[in-house]
Amino acid sequence: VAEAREAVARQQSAALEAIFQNDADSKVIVSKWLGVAHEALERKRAWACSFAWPTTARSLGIDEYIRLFTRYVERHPHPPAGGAVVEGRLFARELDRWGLLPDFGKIQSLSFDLRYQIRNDRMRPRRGLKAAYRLLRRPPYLVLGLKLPLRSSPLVWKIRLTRRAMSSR
Amino acid sequence: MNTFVAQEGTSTTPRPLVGILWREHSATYIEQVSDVTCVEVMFEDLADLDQIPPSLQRLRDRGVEVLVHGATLSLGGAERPDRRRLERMARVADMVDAPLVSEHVAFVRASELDSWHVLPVQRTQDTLEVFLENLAEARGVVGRPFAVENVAQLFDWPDHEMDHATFLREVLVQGDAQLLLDVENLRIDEVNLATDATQVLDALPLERLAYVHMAGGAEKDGVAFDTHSRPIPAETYQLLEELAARVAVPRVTIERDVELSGAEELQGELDGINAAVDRGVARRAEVSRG
Repeated sequence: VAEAREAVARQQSAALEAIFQNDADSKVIVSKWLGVAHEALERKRAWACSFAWPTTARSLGIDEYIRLFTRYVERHPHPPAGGAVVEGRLFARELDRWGLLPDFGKIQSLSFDLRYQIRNDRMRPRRGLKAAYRLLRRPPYLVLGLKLPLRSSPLVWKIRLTRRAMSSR
Repeated sequence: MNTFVAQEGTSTTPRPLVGILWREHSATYIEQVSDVTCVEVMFEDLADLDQIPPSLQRLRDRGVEVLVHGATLSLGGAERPDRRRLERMARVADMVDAPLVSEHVAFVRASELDSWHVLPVQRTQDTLEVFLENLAEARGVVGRPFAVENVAQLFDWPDHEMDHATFLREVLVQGDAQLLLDVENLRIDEVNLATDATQVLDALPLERLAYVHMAGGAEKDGVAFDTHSRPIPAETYQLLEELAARVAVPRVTIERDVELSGAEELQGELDGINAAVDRGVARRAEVSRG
């Protein structure tokens, strides 16, 4: 069985690589199914992320969410080993870079970052000190978060920004 | 606890246990439908392994059977099954006292790549040997009867050594496993790969049938997808009837990943399932009467 395992491993990893990369030159699987499999897996990733990070998906609306996720997948062809929760955080980071992360998504990502960190595509609980902030747009709030060592729940403060505070930024 | 008793050749129609894949977002509706006699729970879905979700417990209290299903063991993959996942499945099965557990004849990951989706295996002797060893290991850890499920062929491999039914039969017989037959996946294979679902039914060891999955998927550009997002189509009810015309169907569960519109929708699908089984049973009784 050891030899069989090696043969199966070679075939399956080549197939997955071809599907993720949508590699039309690959002969590992029947080529007419390559695009179909690629699209289906992409959609599956999008759905899994929307379940893991529902507020972001709801705020954007599912059609917009899928459209932006497709754009994200072009830069990240392989799903992370850590699963949909990790991928949702990576997607949120990309949305933030594009200036498209909704306020609810910002709060959710702050909460995640205070509790977890992502290393090698996997999430790990934070043990040390962590401080983070987010600026919300509507209404304008500064959200500050602090995670203390040996304390599981982070502390969070919301500060309403006045016009004066905003113009002094 | 409800039990299925096949009543061959009698005028009484044997009814399978019927229900749906239990999900947090559908839990309220499921509880409202008194015809639900069986539910499935994904072992990956339960976050708390010390407590059964209250809604699921209420269903158990009224005698609803709970089966445990998995989609991440990757038994068709080259790697040995992950021990932590198997122990988690065993723990959930113990919690709900599941009469059996189930997984797909599929692979999910290979090397460092994880697809998060059950993908068809190449049907070769090598894959069969690997699958059987993985299945034996999984059963050893979980300690419950195992059923294996056919997946929709999302893509096709070149150079298969066996056809779909032969490979599945070998898994079932050599692996001494029970069959979880996904009837919707048979329909999808008919659309995408021009297979004949009734021929597949005829080639399978249906005496090993433990339960049936029903679902409705999306179609795009003539390609069917196993999305569990739509109502069950008429063709899938028809295939369930074909199955019930061949063998007693012990249980049927619906898979729905998208929120149901309400209890009425679930009730309607359960009625459709019972009607399809009734038609199949009537045909079987007619044949047995000669």
